[in-house]
Amino acid sequence: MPAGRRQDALYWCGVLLVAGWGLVQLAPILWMISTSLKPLREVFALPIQWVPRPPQWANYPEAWNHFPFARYFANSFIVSASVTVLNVLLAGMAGYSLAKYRYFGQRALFIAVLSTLMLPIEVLMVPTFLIVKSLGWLNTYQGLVIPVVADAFGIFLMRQYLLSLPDSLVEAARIDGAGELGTYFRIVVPLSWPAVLTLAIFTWRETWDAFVWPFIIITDDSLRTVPIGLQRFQEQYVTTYNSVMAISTVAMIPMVLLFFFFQRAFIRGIALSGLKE
Amino acid sequence: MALPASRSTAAPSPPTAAEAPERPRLARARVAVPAGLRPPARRWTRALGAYAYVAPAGLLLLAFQVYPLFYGGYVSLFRWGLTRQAFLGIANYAQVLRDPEFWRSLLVTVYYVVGVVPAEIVLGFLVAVLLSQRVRGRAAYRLVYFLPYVTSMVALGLVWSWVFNANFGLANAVLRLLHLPPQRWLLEPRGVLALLRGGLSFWAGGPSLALVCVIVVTVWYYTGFHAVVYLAALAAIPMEIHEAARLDGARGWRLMRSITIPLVSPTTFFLAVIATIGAFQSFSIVYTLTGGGAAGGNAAEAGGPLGTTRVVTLFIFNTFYGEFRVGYAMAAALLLFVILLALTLLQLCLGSRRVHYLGGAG
Repeated sequence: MPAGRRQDALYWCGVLLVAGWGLVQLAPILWMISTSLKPLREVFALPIQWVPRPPQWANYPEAWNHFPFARYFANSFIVSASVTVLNVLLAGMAGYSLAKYRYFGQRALFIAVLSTLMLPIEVLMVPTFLIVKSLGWLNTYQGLVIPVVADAFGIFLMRQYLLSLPDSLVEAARIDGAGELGTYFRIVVPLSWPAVLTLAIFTWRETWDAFVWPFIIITDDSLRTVPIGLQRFQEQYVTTYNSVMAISTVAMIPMVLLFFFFQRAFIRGIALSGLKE
Repeated sequence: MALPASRSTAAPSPPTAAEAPERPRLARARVAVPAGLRPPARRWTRALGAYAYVAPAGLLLLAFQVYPLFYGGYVSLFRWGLTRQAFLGIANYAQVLRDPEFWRSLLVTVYYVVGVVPAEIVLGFLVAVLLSQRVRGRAAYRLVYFLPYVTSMVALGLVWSWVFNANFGLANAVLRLLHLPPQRWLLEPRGVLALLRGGLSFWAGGPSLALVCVIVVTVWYYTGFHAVVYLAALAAIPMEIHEAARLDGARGWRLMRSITIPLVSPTTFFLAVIATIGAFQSFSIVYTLTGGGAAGGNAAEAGGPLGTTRVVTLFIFNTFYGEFRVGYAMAAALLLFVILLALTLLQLCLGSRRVHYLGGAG
């Protein structure tokens, strides 16, 4: 759709719409940042003052120290990193098996894996909770991590990618005597970085923002993750909007940074499959 | 679920053999040895390797996805509190089907899904079409549209609960500017139709204003995601098709209706399916906006003013986590699953007839 020729009213209407909707998308986030820098008495002042003067940076340490947020962030990092690493590893291996071998039951296995995508959280929530409880994993890291590390979406993504990798590469490595492990880790893994990166970013986003599962199985405050901590903080300090917004701003920083640096991989991942949510 | 993604054209191109790491040792050994000629020991390690690679993920899926489904079916047959109690057979199911709360939460969910899915798709498509024109600063816009999707949903829920705050919120400030009466937004249990016309019952009043607010936030959150998927689909349409249509005299809306929309229909179909599934599972956005502290209730009573935003996920969560009626919650969950499955199959049937594929028979 070349735009060069249509320097007309329609084009400018389009530009206006794009910009206008962009503003709608951005306004709440800008407001969040702006409020996080205001003294409490100015928070509800109308008309809205978008640039607080002077910015009250003290809101940040104050909110941070009010609640064990350092702990929540550490927990979120531990959980997100473990889930991401394990998911990529497991999905990569399973995808490799499904794409580069031929064996009995392979197709049935693949269909079975895919069909688990259909299971909604409502159905899994109750029985998985009971299973985790009987394993004694309530209020533990493994309870947060293990039930979510195997993921059909990741397996599917890795399989599709590896299918497009030439078989001759794998075959050549095997003939060279690289062995099953060597072939995978020295030949296949280095060649699948694009898919690995996409899957890793997706998994990280999903885990960092996970709400229901940590909410259900964690009652011990020292194991809470950021979203849960945020929700509880807001419940208790509902009136101190500037602190709540300061913490909300901090909470979104890791995700926004990740998106910033890996924008291409992120968008390609979504365009590629968009299977999540 | 396999269909849509495998259709996608924008796959990252894997490196070809030529770009592979410099390993002259490998390059020499190009001849593939037929399986039959390999020593049998080799074949055994290969078969072992194949199963070993798939085993960890497979076993975990079995333990935490497949087994829970059947275990859940077992649980649903019992009165189950903190532990297993009396065997009830299908009594839980019968009771769920008679429970007005269940039906109401189902109605709320239907309102929610019907409000969210078409709006997300239409807005996402419009944004993508606008962005696919050569607007200056396209990358920046893309970032802006996409920003909600990569920020924490709970954090954004908190921001929006302020926007809709009945006393100091942004929404009421705007209404005041327009000399309109302020609203209670997320605290308003009355249906939007009832608010417009006055005095209608729950069933006739339409979704509550609170639910409409939740719908607005959800759409706002996901529009960027839909736009990005559509952008990829639009980029995949060959230039020549548009050129040919233009030569035939198609312009503007006509071009859009006869060329663009039919050609992105696989994407539309795919987005409709995943958005529906996603909307049926919505929890955190509804919970942070109208559960917990935001609406002044407690965790066990999540679901907004008079339960008018209690989607079925929240209903199940409440009966399970708030009241600890585990068997009952599980029966409701499985009934929902059956409904969802039927709906997805229906979508697949309808969709496969309407979708147009490039180069294939429409």
